[in-house]
Amino acid sequence: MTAAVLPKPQPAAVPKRLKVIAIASGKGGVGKTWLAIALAQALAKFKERVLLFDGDLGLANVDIQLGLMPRSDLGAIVEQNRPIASAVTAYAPGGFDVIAGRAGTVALAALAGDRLTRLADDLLTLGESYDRVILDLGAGVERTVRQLCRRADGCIVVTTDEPTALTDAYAFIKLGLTQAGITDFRIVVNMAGSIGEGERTYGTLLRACQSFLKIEPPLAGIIRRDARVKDSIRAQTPVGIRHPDCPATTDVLALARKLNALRP
Amino acid sequence: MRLRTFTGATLQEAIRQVRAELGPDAVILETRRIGRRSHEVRAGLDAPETAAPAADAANDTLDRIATALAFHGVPARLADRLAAAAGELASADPVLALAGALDSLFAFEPVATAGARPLALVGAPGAGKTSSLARLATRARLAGQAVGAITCDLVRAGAEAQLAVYTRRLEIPAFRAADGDGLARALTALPNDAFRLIDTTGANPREPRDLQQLARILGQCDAEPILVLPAGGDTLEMADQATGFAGLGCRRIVATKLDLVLRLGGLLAAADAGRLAFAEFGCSPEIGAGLMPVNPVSLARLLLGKSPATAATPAPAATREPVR
Repeated sequence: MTAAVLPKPQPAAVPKRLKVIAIASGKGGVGKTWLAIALAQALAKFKERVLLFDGDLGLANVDIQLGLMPRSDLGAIVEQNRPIASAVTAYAPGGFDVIAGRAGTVALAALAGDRLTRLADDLLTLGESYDRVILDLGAGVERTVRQLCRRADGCIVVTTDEPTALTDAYAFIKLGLTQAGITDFRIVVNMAGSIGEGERTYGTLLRACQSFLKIEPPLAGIIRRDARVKDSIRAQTPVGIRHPDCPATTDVLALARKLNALRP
Repeated sequence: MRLRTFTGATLQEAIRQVRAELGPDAVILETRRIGRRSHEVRAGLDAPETAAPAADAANDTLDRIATALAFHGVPARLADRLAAAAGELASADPVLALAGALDSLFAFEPVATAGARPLALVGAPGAGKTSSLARLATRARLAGQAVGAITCDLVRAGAEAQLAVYTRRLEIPAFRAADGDGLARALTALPNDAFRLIDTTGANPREPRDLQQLARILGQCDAEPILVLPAGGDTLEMADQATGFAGLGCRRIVATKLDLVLRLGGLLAAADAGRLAFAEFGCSPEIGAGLMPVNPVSLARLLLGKSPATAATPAPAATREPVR
């Protein structure tokens, strides 16, 4: 580790308000897309106008998790040069809007830098008519993820207690910090055995960030492990709609409330 | 960051293990008591970053590569594989990153003029088979190699005459063969150590009869069919052609007419679809300028916008003097 490539140490600042939130993780399978959907629905419940953008350019699946049949999607925007607004699909049960991606469309995964920049510009322009834009990014740390993440106001990094999830979340933060200039990271511990265990997991990641990167990303929330999450995914319905009183919904609402209190 | 979990009877014992295995730089990230007689310690050790490429340099490299592949019209799936392979190399130099990616996805096998099997140049009509033959013959001749040419193209008007012009200038023996037997006899008439080149009739890869006829002729001798493919065509068409000729036994491509086109996506698609190695690129209308043996670096340079002339030096024995 060399100090030269790292930004100056940051004091633990009061989290700023986030309008455009990127949801990322180093590792796949930690519940990133699920969280993006649950959070969109929770924020909409607080009367926010929310746009959920499926930015997992190679393996999009927000529409699948919501059981949507979008008439247009990101693939159409890129292939046919159509305006981004034409790909907005309203998800009425959740009260938020979605821009669906297209799974298996490598044209999106291999999008050249300038096209990606244009797409992000258009998305931010469209986002002006919303209170909140949530970007569900792909797993990993590759170019498109970093480039989209860079355009967000802040990035929620999702991890679990698993060592691979922790090291990959750390790797994402490190690369985002050193290679993409992202400075606002917030941690969500998903599938925690309990709130206490979630705090312990956060503590582990926090100490790694403090020791090696000299930053203190704040804890955004802890979502407890809940069997009803799996049920809601199977039912292609946000957990907040299918199980409005379960622990996972309570935790997502707490996360949304925290973000809503800092509403832009 | 390397993350390891250690268990010991006491906390001190677990930490001693951390130091023993991860050294003094490891950071204790978490400790917990497991039951009454066990302690668990999670420790992390971060890798030095000195070798990592500078932030924007790595992104710029991949952007440049992605932009170049898009310009060339490389099919999305192939472009994605190339960009991913280039990204793994983490080189700040776009040429080296792309060359590494090309090397991992494609084979490169230039034509050797000595001790080689006879080469049969096959391809669609007008692909540049006869002129490619002349270029390879010129290279071998200038290297002091014995060369012989045989044409099986007795169909196209003027084909024999065109080859005769080249072979007379190069002072090499030339034969004509109407069928497989004739070809076998002509090959026997040439010295075994000669670089033997066979020109064939243009074949339509969509016409099974054309391919069967070629296979019949070539089946009578131990010649390697090598696909001559002009650059710049439609990506899907070129991929189809390559697949058709690969079925005939082609393993390599001699690409022609690179001086006339800007976009090489079709060529990459063809090599990918037919699982063909890149052998030579024809980048000049002059026979004497020869063919350019292609390698990952020269192809990367071409794709990133270098002109064929500067992408690589011509074959060592080639001459700039035209043979007309």
